[in-house]
Amino acid sequence: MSDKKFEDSDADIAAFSEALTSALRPADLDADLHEQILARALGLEVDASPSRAGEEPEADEAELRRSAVLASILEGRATSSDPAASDPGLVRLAQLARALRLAYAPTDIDDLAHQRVLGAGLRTPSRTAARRTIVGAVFVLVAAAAAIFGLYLQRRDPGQPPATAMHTGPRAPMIEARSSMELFDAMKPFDREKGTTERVDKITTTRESELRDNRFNAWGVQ
Amino acid sequence: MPPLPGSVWVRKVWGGMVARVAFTRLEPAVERDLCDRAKKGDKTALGKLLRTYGPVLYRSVLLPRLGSEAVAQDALGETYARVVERFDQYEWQDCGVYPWLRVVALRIALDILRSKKRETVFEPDDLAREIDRADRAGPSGPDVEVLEARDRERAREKVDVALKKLNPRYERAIRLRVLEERPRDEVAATLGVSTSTFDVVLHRALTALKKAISAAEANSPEALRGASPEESTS
Repeated sequence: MSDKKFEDSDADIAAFSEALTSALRPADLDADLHEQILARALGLEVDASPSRAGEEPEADEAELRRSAVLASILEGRATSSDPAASDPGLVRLAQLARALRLAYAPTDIDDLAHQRVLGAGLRTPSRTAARRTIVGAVFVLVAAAAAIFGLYLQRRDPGQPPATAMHTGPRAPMIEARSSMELFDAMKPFDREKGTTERVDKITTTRESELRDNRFNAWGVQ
Repeated sequence: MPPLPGSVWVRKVWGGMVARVAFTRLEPAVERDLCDRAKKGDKTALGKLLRTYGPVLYRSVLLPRLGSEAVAQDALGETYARVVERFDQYEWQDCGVYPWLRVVALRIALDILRSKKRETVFEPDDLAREIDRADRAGPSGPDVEVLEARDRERAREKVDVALKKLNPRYERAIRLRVLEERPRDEVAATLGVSTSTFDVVLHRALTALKKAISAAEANSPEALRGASPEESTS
C-alpha cells in the first residue's frame, strides 16, 4: 500500500472509513429501503411515500393546490364551475375514497329510489309472458297466412265459389247433354232459308242456362 | 331469534356480536308460497319478494362492490329485470330465495366491474370467486342473515387488506378521514400536522392506494388470462 492513497480527497477517505466500519460493525438495512429494493425486484410499483416514521416531504405549489381541491371534492364543496374539480385524476381519487367508505359502511337504499327501481324492474316481461306473446303472434301470423293463401287460390280459380256459398245438403241431378231437337216444335219445321239467328240464339240461351244451373248444382248452390 | 346455521361464524367475525339486520326474513312457508306464485307469473308475489330482499342486495352485495350509489341502483334495476325475466327457472330451496337472488346480483355486478371506468376496491376476480363459492354451496347453503353478515365482513376485510399495503401514516389518514368520516381539522390535529399538510397527506395516501390496487388488479388471474365477459353471463 503506497502513501499515495492517503493523499487522496476527503471523499476517498470517507469511503474507506465507511468500508472499515461496515466490515467491523455491519448495520441493518433500513426497512423502507428494503421494501423499495424488494418491490423493484418483484416488478411492483415502488412506493415513493415518505419514511414510515419520518416526516412528510415538502409539497410543491401544484401538489398543494391539487390536495386542496381534492379536499373540497371530498367535502362536497367543489362546484362544477371549478375546472380543477373536474380533473380526471382527482375525480378518480374521490371515487376511490367513496368506494372505500361504501365498502366499509354501506348505506341503505332510499325508499323512493327503491320504489322507482322496483317499478321499472317489474315492468320487464317475464320469459313465460314473452313466450305466450310469441306463441300468440305466431298463431295470428299462421292464420293470416292461411287466409291469404285461400284468397290466392280463389283468385287463381275464379270458377270456384267462395266457401261460404257451399251447400252441404243433397244435390239436384245434373242436366245431361242432349239433342237440341226438343227445343223446337217438330210439327213446325223451321224455314231452311231464314231464321238461322233465332234458332242459334234459342239453343245458346238454353244451353247457357243449363250450364249455369249445372255449375251452381256442382257447387251446392240452390 | 332462533339460532342460525352460521351463527357461530357470525359471532366470531363481528367481534362477539351477532350482526344486526334491518329487515325481517319472510316466514319460509310464506316465502315458498310467494315463490310458487311468482313462478307462475304473479308479479305481485314477485314484487313482495323483491321489496323484502332488494334492499339487502343493495346494501350488502351491490353497493360495497360497486362503490357508488348511482351505479349500485342501476345494478339493482338490472338485477330486478333479470329476476323477473328468469324467475321461471328458480327452484325452491330450504335456504330460501335470497341466495339465488344474490347470485343474480353478483353476476350483474361482475359484468359492471369488468366494464368499469370507476375506481373500486373489488376486482372482477373477487366476484367470480364468490359466484363459484355460491354455486358450490348449492341448496344446503346459508340463508339471508348469514350471507349478509359474511358479505359485509368480506367487504371490510377487502378494505383492510388494501389499506395494509400502505405505510401506517397513510393508512391512518384514510381510516380516520374516509372510513370514519371524522372532520378534517380533527384528523390533522390527531396526526400532528396542519390542515393543509393533512390535505397533502390524504392526497398522497389515496394516490398510493390507487397504485396498490391497480398493481394487484394487473396481477390478478383474470387480468393475466384476459377473461371474456361472456363467461359471467348465465
